[in-house]
Amino acid sequence: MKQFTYCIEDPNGMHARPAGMLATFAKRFDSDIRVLANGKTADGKRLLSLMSLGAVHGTELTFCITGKDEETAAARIESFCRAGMKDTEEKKED
Amino acid sequence: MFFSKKEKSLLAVADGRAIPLSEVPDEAFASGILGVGVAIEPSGGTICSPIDGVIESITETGHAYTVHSDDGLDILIHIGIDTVTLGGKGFLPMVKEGYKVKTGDVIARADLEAIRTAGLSTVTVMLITNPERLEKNEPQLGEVQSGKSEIIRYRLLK
Repeated sequence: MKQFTYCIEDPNGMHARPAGMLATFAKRFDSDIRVLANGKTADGKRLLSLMSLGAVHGTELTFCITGKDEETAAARIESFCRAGMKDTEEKKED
Repeated sequence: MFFSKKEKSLLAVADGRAIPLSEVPDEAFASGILGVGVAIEPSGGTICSPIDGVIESITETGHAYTVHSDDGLDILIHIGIDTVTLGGKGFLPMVKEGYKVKTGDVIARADLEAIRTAGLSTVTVMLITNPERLEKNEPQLGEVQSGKSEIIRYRLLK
């Protein structure tokens, strides 16, 4: 398992758009992605689950990533978070 | 005889005019990256559940609601665009997390005038955020009535 923490910088917290962007990004990986905050655990691949964490500005999220691509997943998801929940590696495939 | 997989529908979350997601003035919603769905230019501020399910989350600011449907769909209802910035002003949740809701149950009341006065769009987005469960989905556009008009026809995979 790979783990890292990220403190939410968005003044509006984990609202719909960042939660959705994170879930969409996380779905690229095979690994199981759990996000812990406020004593709750969310499925990092589900927007609904992430929103129910009630994470606000300053909340520390702990990511627990388990699976065969955990190394890559952890590194890339961490970069995604630090870029302000933005996908900086976007490559259009359509 | 063959049974075709059952076609179901999500009903309008508000009265107004249903428009394609691509016309939503927000890139994240319009691009479809967050999920498939449809938007409504609301004519009234009563927001209803589009489906039978459970309220999974409500943002602290009352502008966004998620419903996990009894048939496994993850639905996001987002009232207005960038309305997170209003900090709750103009939104009155009528449900709590964990409430079971039926199609057409009122989940929130929004003060559309307050949203407009703040210079924001009232366009309300309904997304299915786990579209990988769908075999097909067809938005139904035009004038809609909350809890009565079909807004998306869908069929689940498997």
